[in-house]
Amino acid sequence: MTDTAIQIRRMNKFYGSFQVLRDINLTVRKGERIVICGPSGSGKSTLIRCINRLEDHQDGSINVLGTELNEDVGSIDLIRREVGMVFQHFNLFPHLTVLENCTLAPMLVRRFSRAEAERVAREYLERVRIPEKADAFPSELSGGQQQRVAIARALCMRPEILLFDEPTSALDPEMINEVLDVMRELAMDGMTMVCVTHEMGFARQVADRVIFMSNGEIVEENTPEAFFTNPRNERTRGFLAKILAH
Amino acid sequence: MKLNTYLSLAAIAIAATATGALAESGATLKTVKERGKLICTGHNGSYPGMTELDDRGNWAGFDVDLCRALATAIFGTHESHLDIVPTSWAQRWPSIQSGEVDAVIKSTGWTLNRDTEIGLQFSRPYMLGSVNYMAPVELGAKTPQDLDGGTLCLQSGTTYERYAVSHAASMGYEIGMVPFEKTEEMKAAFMAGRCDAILEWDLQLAVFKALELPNPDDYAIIPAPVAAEPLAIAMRQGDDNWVDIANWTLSVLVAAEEYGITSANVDEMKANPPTPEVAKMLGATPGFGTVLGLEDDFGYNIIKVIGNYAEIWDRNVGEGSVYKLPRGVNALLRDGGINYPLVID
Amino acid sequence: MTDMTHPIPRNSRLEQLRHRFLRTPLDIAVTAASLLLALFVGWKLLDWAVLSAVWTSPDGLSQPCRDASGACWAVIEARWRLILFGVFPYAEQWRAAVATAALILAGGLSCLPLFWSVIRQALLWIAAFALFMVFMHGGVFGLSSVPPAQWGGLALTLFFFVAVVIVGMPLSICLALMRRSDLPVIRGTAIILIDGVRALPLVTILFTAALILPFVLPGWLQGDKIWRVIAGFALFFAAYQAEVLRSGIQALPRGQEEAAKALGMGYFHRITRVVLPQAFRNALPPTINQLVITLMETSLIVIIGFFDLMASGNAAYGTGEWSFAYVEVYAFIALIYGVFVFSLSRYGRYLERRLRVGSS
Repeated sequence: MTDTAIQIRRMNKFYGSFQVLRDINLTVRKGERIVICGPSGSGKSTLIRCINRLEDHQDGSINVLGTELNEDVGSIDLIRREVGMVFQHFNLFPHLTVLENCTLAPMLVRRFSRAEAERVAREYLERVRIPEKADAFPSELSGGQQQRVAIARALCMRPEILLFDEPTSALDPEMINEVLDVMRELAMDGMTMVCVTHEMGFARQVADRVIFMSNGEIVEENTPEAFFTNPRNERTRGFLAKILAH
Repeated sequence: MKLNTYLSLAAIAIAATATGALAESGATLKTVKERGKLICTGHNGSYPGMTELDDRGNWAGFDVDLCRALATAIFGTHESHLDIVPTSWAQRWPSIQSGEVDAVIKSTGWTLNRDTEIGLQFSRPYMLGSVNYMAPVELGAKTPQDLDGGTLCLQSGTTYERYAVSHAASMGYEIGMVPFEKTEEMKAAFMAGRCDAILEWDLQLAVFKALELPNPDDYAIIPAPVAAEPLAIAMRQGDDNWVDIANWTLSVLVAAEEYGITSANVDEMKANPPTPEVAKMLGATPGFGTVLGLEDDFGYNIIKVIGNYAEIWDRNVGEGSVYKLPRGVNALLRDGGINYPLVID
Repeated sequence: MTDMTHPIPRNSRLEQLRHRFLRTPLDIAVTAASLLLALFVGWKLLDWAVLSAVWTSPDGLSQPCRDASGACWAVIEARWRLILFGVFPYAEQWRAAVATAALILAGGLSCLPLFWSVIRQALLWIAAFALFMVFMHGGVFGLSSVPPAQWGGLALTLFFFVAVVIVGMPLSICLALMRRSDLPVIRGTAIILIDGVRALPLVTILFTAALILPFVLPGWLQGDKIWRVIAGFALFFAAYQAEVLRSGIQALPRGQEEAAKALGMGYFHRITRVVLPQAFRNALPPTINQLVITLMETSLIVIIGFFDLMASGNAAYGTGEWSFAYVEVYAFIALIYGVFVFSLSRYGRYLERRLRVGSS
């Protein structure tokens, strides 16, 4: 048993002739917390969307939990089962209640019984501090509440890895912390996390490594300490100056 | 009528591709006997007098009785040996060509196109669809010529307009045309007295007179036909035996009327046939049915179950019905009409 | 005529009405004239339909109607069984009634939230159809066999409508999903089918299914005319409904399917649990519309010789005794269609209200 969660080697991705990801090499160990940042359009979202194959890659290899990602539907399903994702716009299912949002996939994919799925769902709703909204519909919740439900929904699948795609970018400022708190707790519990975010405070506190991307390339990969105090790359410095200024 | 064009084209195309594969002599009778049922055309709704439904949903009408006569000729009874399938006008030809029905008995006129291109074969006409004038009694018109100088309400663009023009020209009278877009408008104008006469198939006139005119007795159908369309049974081309059966079934009905045989006295007539022809027709002596592939007493069965031509007429369109249509040209030859039986020798 | 800048007094409904309709002498005149006209027409209608109407005829004949100035509802009394069941054998018409009731009951039940799952709907309708066939067609359990050629009236119209929707709805889902497939062959097939069918008038499809197909298909594939026509009609329905559904699917944010994918849900589950429920909700108003149109269009089958509600209506007044009473018969038929269409649109309204709770 290896302790490597994700291994990306020499991966390239194109939209037609436009190259969005360039020679990506990244290894994430189990239990590691990675924060990916960078200017918009730098390919960071695309990168993590490649990890659960919401986007396909053209070149190089991606290995998740020992499984090689390729065209094979079986391997894709296998990986998606173990890799949860939290989206910028929550993407809760509006026609289902909060509880149903959380039990749907475990029952269909993990073959949990309804009782078991609901028990697990209530447990995680408790953890994201929103148990009282189990029977509400997503439209009845605030943005922060919806994002916490989305995290609970991902957790209900008991994933090995959680991907966060700018989870706080669509939130009003006063709701950002309730989501970050939940994410911090997850990090404490040892969840393997890959987070695309601009929350530098969160990165500094939680991340094992910070990765800076620009123009589809990984420009800098560093410990948070070094990343924030002594960035090696000129582009990183420029980005940090801008983002920390306000 | 774009739809009808499409259909007749389809019908012609089917006839063309299916020629040769179609019925050979005796094939239809064989199919019908194996099936145990004759399948005949009904109507998608009702055509008063010819194909209609009583309160209990039973088919009734002149055409329906002919279907029954044909089934009785084959099976001795039509009970559970006859299926009448609702059929629209447009559907007649594909239905007969595909073998969905065995005969089209649906107030259908015998025309060149149907006889040739559509690939049908017709029986002898069973009724002459006589086109007549109807006028208020007070005008005193007894013949079309008496309408000279009068006016005629009619539906524009129909064959009736043509009939009226050519009849007036050849018979030397003049009648002014008042055309209307719809039948209803034409009828309303006639009822309002805006013209002296209307021109229609006499059965339709009888229906109109009996059911829609407030005082039916104030109007009279002028007996002399202006034109006529022969209505006949339509069958698939090529099955001569089937055409024979249709013709002799129709002939039995007329012959029975001519010889005075009715459903009431047919048993007595069979027991004591007045002539050798009657004896043969009713199966008292052999030879009538076998040559057609039927039982020898099929003539007896038809008269016993359905009655003769006069009985069918009276029951459905004549004095016994609400329409009270006089026999007119459809009377026996001896009564001044054109109806006559074929010769049994 | 009215001064729009003038503030409308809101103190009472009466005030508002007065303001709208009685502000100037001309307003008053127009209002009065309209009211009088409405009263006059209403009175005439009431007089015809109720006050001077003949409701019953003891001997089942039309004589009592002939002297009356009002409507002749006695025609319905005498001919209602013909209208409802057409040429179905009279003594067996209780079977047609049971069969029709089964369909209506199933239709009602399928509207209840209790039955809102694919499996329950399928079971419900299979049961309803089995029941319908047993009673309507017979030939089992000692019931005599009544072939589809003898089906008629409301029973036939309802069966036809339900069958078309039951066959057409899954077909439309397939077409809509094929239409957005990534595989060019599948997408192309769907486009050709949908556009091809939509390029043809319904009558042509019905005629082809009823009359032309028997010449083309081998005997064992032909089946009864009614099944061919239902198949053709269902294809027509599906082509239109597929586009309605596609619009409903396209209205979904892309994130919905991505979220389902990220949860490891396979194609089938993504479609049935996430995409379709929301697509149907988005497409609800045009779907109800499509159903209403389809119910109305079933009356076209009369021209290929089916004895549907319209045909049996025609037969009901198409006899010497009753041929003057066609207005009454058509009013009755309009009422029947009206009841079903009204129920459909009310149900659509109810659904929209109910589903709004869970919409984003």
